[in-house]
Parts: sequence; C-alpha cells; structure tokens
Amino acid sequence: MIFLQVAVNSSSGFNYIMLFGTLAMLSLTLGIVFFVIFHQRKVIRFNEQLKKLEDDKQQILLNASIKFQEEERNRIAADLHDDVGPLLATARLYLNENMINQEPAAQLQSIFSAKQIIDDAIQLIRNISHSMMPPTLKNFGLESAMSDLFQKINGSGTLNASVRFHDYRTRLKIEQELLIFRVIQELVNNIIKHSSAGFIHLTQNANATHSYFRLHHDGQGIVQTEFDRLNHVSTGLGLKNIASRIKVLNGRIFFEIDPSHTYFKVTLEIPKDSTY
Amino acid sequence: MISIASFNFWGAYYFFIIRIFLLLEFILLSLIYISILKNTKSKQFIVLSIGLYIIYSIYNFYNSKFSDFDFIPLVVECLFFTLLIVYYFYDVIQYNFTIPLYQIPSFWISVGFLIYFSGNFFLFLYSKSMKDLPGWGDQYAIIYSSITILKNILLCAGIIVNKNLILHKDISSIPTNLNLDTFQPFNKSINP
Repeated sequence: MIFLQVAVNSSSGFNYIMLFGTLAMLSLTLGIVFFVIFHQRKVIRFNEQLKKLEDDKQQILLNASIKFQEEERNRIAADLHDDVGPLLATARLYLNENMINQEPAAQLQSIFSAKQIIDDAIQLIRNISHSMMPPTLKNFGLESAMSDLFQKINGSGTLNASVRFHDYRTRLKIEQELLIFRVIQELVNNIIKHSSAGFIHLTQNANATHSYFRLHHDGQGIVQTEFDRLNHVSTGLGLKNIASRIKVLNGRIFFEIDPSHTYFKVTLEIPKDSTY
Repeated sequence: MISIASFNFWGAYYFFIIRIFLLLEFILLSLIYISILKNTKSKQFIVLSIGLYIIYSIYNFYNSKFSDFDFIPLVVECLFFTLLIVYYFYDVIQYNFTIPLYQIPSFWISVGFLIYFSGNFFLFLYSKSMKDLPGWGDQYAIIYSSITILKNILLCAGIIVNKNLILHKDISSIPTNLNLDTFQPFNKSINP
C-alpha cells in the first residue's frame, strides 16, 4: 500500500529519503530485537549447560563420598571381624571353663597366652582407631601429625620423606586440620602407590590470609589438566575425595610440574578464616 | 481522521493539547522505565532527563507561536526513547539468565515503543519542512497509522503475556500473605 502511494504521489512531493529512512530504522529495530532474543536464548542455554555440568559434578562428588564412606565402613568391619574377632575368640579358648581343672603351670601358661592375645587385640583396635582419627593430630596439631606420618614412611626405608613447617604458630581449626591431613595422606598414598618416587618433601608456609602446603616428589605425577579430567570421570575415588575436601575447606589445589621436568609439585591453598 | 476532527474542534488549542500530551507521554514512559530498569545510575539519568525535558518544553512553549507546533521535542523524545529501549535490552540481557525475553511483558511493550519511535523518527524529523507539500498528508497518515497499529498489536501481546504470567502464578493455592508465625494448620487453635 505504501508503494502504491509512492507510485501515485511520485510527482507530488513524495519524500523517498523519509520512506527509506523509516524502512531502514524499522529494519534496524527488528535486527536489534532479533539479536537480543537470540543472544539471550544462547545465554540461557549456556547457563543451563553450566548448571547441568555443576549438578553432574556434585552428583559425582556425592557418589564418591558415599562410596568412600562405605569402603571405610567395610574396611573397619573387615578389620574387626577378621582380626579382632578371632583374637578374642582365641583368648576365650585359653580362658575356658576347663582351665580350673588344669595344672597351675598350664593355667599360668593359658593366662599368659590369653593376656598376649588381648594385648594384640588392644593394639589392633588402637590401630583402627588411630587410622580413623590420629591422636597426634588431635593433641599436638597438624605439624606433629605430618611429622609422624612422614617418619613412618621414612622408616620403611624405601622412600626419603621429610616435612618442614615454616609458619605454623597458630593452629587451624581441628576440623580443617583433619581435612588437610586426609588430603595430604591421600596424596602421599597416591605418590607411594603410583609414582615410584625416590623422595617426598612437604613444606608449609603462610601469609595473612592463607596457609600453603606443598608436596614435592621426583616420581611420575599428574598436572592440573589431568587432575581436572580425572575429577570429572566416574572412576578414581581418591582424587574426588581430595576435590570434595578442598571444596569444603574453600581452598584450591594445584598440580604442577617443575620447568626442568625433574619433579612434580602439588600445592594446597587453604584460607585461614574458612567458615568450615 | 481523529486528528483532523480534533483540530477542527479544538482549533488553535489543538497544538497546546499536543504539547501537554507529549510532556505527559515522556514523563509516564520514563517512569515505566525507571520501574523496569535495574541499574540505579540509569534511573538517575532518566530522572534528570525528565527534568531537562520539562524545562525544554516550557522554554519551547514560551518561544514559539501558540497556534504552531515545534517538532523538535517530538524528535528528541523519539531519539531518547529509542536509545533508552536499546539500553533496556542491554540491561535485560545483563541480568536475566532464566526467563526467555518473549515471556516478559515489558519486552513486548518495549518492542512496540521501539518500533513506534524509530519508525516515526524520520516522519517527525521531516514534518516541519514538508507539511505544506502536496501528498505529504497521505504519506504521513499511511506510515504513522501502520506503525501505530503495529505498536498497539505489540502492546496487546505484552498484556496477553502479562495475563499468562498472572494465571501461571495463580496455580499455587498458598496465599501470598501467609504468615507462618500465626498460621494454624487444620483450623487448630494454639491455645485450646
């Protein structure tokens, strides 16, 4: 209809500039509107994907945490059932009712054997308890607990392990210390199991806001990209536990390799005033 | 036709009424965007623009003929709202990551006004210099009417979207003003 008007009024002062200007403005407007709609749809889709990824990650971490808990329970159950149970049953055999009819020397022998077995059972229960909550950590702090752990590793003679805490005058909260201890324990276990390292060295340092823990070793290690990849696959329980514990601590973990490619570094960055 | 009839009816007062209408339109639309936009600085800018526009309108009223109409305020209004609505789109993209734009009533209203102001921009710009040319009236009527119809359709779309939103909200039977401190389930009294 407009073009009809153009034809009719072309000789009567019809303004083409105004017409095309209006059409150009309308086209520009529609272009802007469509751009805004499509851009926002793209943003919404991207956010949904991000949310899904985050949900999946949470699900994997939750599964890992449940699986880890179940494994820990199974281990404790197996320790109690296979080790402590038979020991106490044997001790009971030594102290059975017929003992009263035996010779005093045989009685003494039975009591002595039973005592030894009960001592073994006590030691076993202590070991189980210590593996759940190291008493050194609770009583003397992370530095002592780490020193204990590294001394035990050193004592095996296969690996040179050392610890150095530079600035640990103020202890972190016991819950934080336990989580850090578990993370380092898991890292050290992984290094011992998979890396064929000759040495492990743990250093600690701090600034006003954060505590830093760094593990060096000269074996086979992983770098950050590999850690992130392993963290997103359904296998590999240990690394997921590390990631979930670091998340609880509001901290960060970095896996790096030395520029000379001679040793690997794992650094934990833990905020001192974590709300945990 | 309404314009012509109004002009015939109001005579010289017609342009005075248009000036008042323009000022009210500017203020009301600005208030709508003040309530919609999230950014505080942009709200302050709109309030400042309202002040400046009122001052300019008064100045323009005293410095032009009573029976004549100066189209500059109209062009300024077109330019201001075109830019403001583009800024609103930018603002909505920045803050809204969940609801699609076509489900928001203010989006349709904005699209309607954007088409209205940008489409009529050249029309208003050329109005003063070309109003005496033959054929101008037809051209003006066709473009202005088409764009106004389009704007009104989009405003209706905004109202329909708003109605759907309200209906969607009403699905929940939980009263919105429910106070959980005093709420007594199953008509049980707290102090028997």
